[in-house]
Amino acid sequence: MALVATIAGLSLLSLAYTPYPSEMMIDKSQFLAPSLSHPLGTDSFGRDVFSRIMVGGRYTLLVAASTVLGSALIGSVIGLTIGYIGGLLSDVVMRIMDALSAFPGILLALIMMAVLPTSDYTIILALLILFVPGYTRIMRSSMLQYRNLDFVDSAKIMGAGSVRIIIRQILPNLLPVLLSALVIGFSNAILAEAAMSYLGFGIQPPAPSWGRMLAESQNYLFNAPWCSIAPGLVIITTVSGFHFLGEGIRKRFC
Amino acid sequence: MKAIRKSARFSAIRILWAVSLSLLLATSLMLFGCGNQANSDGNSSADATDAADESPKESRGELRWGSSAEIDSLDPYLAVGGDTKGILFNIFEGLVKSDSNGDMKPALAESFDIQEEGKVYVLQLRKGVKFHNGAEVTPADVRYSFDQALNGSAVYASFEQVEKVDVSDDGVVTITLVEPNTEFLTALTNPIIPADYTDQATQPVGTGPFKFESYTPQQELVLVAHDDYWQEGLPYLDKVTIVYGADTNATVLSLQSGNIDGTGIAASDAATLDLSAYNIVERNSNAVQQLALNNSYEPLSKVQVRQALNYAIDVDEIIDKAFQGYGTPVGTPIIPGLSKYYDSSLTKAYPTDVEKAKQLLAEAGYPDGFDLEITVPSNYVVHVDTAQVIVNQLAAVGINATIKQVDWPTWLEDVYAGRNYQATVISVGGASLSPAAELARYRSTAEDNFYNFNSAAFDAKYAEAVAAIDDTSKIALYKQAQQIISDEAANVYLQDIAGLSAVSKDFDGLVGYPLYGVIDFSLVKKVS
Amino acid sequence: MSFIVKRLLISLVTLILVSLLVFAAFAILPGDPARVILGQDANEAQVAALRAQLGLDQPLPAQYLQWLTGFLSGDAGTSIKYKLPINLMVASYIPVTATLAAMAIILMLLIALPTALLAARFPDSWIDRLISTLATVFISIPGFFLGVLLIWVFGLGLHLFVAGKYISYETSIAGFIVYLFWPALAIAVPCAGMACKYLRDSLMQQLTSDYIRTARSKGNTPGRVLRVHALKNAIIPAMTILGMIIGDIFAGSIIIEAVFSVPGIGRLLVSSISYRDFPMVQTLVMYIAVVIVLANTLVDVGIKVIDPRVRLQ
Repeated sequence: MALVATIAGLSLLSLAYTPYPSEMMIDKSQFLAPSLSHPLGTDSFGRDVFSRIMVGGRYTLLVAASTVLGSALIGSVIGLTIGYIGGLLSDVVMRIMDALSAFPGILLALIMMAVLPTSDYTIILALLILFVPGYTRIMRSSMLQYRNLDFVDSAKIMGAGSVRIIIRQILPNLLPVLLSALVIGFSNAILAEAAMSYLGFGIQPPAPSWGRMLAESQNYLFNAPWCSIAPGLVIITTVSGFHFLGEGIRKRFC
Repeated sequence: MKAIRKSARFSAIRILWAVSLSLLLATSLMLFGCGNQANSDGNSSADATDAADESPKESRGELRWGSSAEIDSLDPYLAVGGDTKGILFNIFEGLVKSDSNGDMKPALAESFDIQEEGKVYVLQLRKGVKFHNGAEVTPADVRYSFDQALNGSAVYASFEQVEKVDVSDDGVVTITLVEPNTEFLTALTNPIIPADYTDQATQPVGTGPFKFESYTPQQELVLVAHDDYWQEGLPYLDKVTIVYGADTNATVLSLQSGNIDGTGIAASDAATLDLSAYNIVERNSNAVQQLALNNSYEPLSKVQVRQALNYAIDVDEIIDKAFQGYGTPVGTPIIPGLSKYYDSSLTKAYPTDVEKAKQLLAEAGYPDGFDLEITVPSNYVVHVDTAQVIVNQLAAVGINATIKQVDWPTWLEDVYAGRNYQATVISVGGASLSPAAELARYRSTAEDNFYNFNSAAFDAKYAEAVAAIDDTSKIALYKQAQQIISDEAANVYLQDIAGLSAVSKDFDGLVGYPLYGVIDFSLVKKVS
Repeated sequence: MSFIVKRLLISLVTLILVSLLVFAAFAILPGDPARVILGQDANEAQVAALRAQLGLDQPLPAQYLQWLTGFLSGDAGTSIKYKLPINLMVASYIPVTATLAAMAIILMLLIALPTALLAARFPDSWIDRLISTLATVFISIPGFFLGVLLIWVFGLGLHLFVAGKYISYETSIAGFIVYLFWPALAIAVPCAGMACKYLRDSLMQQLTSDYIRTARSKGNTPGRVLRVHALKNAIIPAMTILGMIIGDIFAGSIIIEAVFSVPGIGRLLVSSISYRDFPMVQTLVMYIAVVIVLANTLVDVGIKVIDPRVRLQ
């Protein structure tokens, strides 16, 4: 948790201060090994890796957080509703979700790029659409598990409305599932942004994102390992950190 | 009853365990087998080739060459990509052939003669040259091949200049052009193929130093030595395998793991590879990388703005930061390779000068700069990297540039054909290696003038230069045409990108050709 | 039974929907294969000629109908990029990705099942914490980073395999499977982390239920309770995650195939999209959709079979 706080803090700090401007290409400083002046070394352009990780965190965390929260919200609403109502509607919606999840992500990202004006939000929207089917499926199948249980039936008999039953009776039981799906989704979003920027669809350069830093530097792993190990480790610690955070929250409240 | 069901369930779980365990065992066996397999496999295949080759002749070795660009067609009259032509260079030959300096040398013709100031080309077919299928090259084959180039092939556009081709039965080829063109020899590299053979796309047959053996998309293309090759002693190698990887990252990994002996690399790889194991071969890409500007887009339509961009952008810094120092700065659309026509003085026409750039912007009515979107094809990492440096440089003069990556088909459709863009980073060459081809797109009416460049003075000068017959005046006119483009600051010309290859030190003789992606495998030797 | 038939029929609707989505994508996306093939130096007349030659001068709906009728009658047509019959190409690519996916699933289960059971057997012990931490780290590794790391450590460092030296199953089945071990591992590890955690959590949830207490009170050993009673019920939610994971495995295989130079469906799909090879993309997406739809259907059917309480209709 301390790690996540540190990384988030550093990303926030980058709004005000970085050791070097994240896009500055320092003369004669390509592929410098980590040193006092460049704690994580420099990349192929001579840019300070540490500064780029600070700034990159801002973009990466923004993309991941908005993707996950947005898609979880949409997915939960759809999943819970159709799970509760069931019947034909449920089937139709699930087939649409199946179709969406079978549709290649690259094609979707390409369409977004073609239709929408260029901005950092394009990638968020594309990832959002990609993530909705997963949440819908999880929430629906969990709903199916609880829909016919005794306590729900008794609530019905007591005259509670459907929305009330879903929110008051069923949702609390689904929270653990939703929470772990959220955390997993968060890491997937960071990784999906990395994969997308690898193909040129993510945050546009020269603005850094952890994923693109990693993708750009994979060839130098052997001779300039700091270029890729640093963003790799940051991704791993952040994502792990969020997992632990999620578990902590769950243990406390559920 | 209950007990039975319970035990049934229990055994189901047991089976699951047993299966898991045995699978675990199997995978761990595989793991061990893996190391051995890889070794023994490498040895056995090497042994096999050695054994096979020892009896008839001395083994001359195999080169495994990595590539991330797949061939678009094996049929030389359908193939268009530079990388494809570069590979087919080893399978097919024309009447003449380029050497490593870019000079045209007789190939399937034993001699050539340019008559009537470049209107008539007379060539004598070489005797005794054999196709890969064993048949001898006849005048009928030459006639058939020229028919392919003249009709139907979308690839050999320069044959539009040909009025007629005569091939006599004793092998004299006479080509008459519509009007004189002293540079037409470069077009006569069109491959000679067997008459009426229609399986070129699947089983190509030519006369080159290597013959086609097999092609598996996304895996490999195998070439073997053509034993009856007309040039004695060539090729040096028995076999060349082109191994396809998904991208340069994959091919560089493949190179470092020893799966391949050489591959094209990025400049940053050249800076990080272990240079004690590889030689780096450098050649020109024969295209001019540029920040192409849409000359009819609002701020860029002002000549001062375009000049300001030229002053703001520091080409040396781009080459230093994004290309680790490899590359030749260029200040004109003509490549340095065409040394006769290339105007090297234009490289220094706009020395980097931030103050001057700001002043010009103020004169043009943009004292605070403006927003500029640079569209870049995402598949070209070099262009994306260049754009990153340019964004920084433009920021210094107050221009807020952003990068928009698009995929290659989108770039071709929207930017190139649709001219719907502000600025883009791209390399531009010509349909053929001639000043006429490289400057043609700057004519205001040209359909491939995606810059929307419009200069009546240039149009007139271009027409004059193409029509000129005398060599000295032709050169002078082409240089004046380049001067107009430079004064107008049509684009920001950057460099002729260095094409870099890394080759294992076990091989020798790989030289850079000043032609598209040519790799001449026939000159590569294995050294022990 | 009628439920399954019904599900399969509805699945057909999904497939049609997917193909319409791809059609819509191609209608929206800029890009012209003829231009991609000819490159920058071609003139408009050449582009037009090639378009006519490739049949691209027909409107897209006509191309779609042509593909659809062909596909339904068993002939998907010719690839625009490779100029080879699509059926032939797909037939040689599917076994590669299918093997890769199957190996990844097996590896995933091999890692996830025992570790999850072990963690649930000793909840909150150091074993549980270690497994949970490791699983979390596994989930957090980006697929291609793991792939490149595996190549560096096991390929270039320990020489256990040669990166990029793919062996076709036509050459040697053993060599093929051995080469695919590493890419399969790269796909399996993050999925295994996810499956392990998920399974452990559902096991723990089950362990607090009444019926487990009953089973325990009847004198079953803790291990037995876990394997026999809890596992069965814990598998339901875990199976839904399996459906998701299958999607992940396909998404992961696109990148992993590129990193390890494996000629599979994922790589073919990416290169076909970047060539605007319409019939090829349509066909590949159909096959992928069939797998995903089947996986989801199996999951739903599986849930129903295991837990009759879930009434899907």
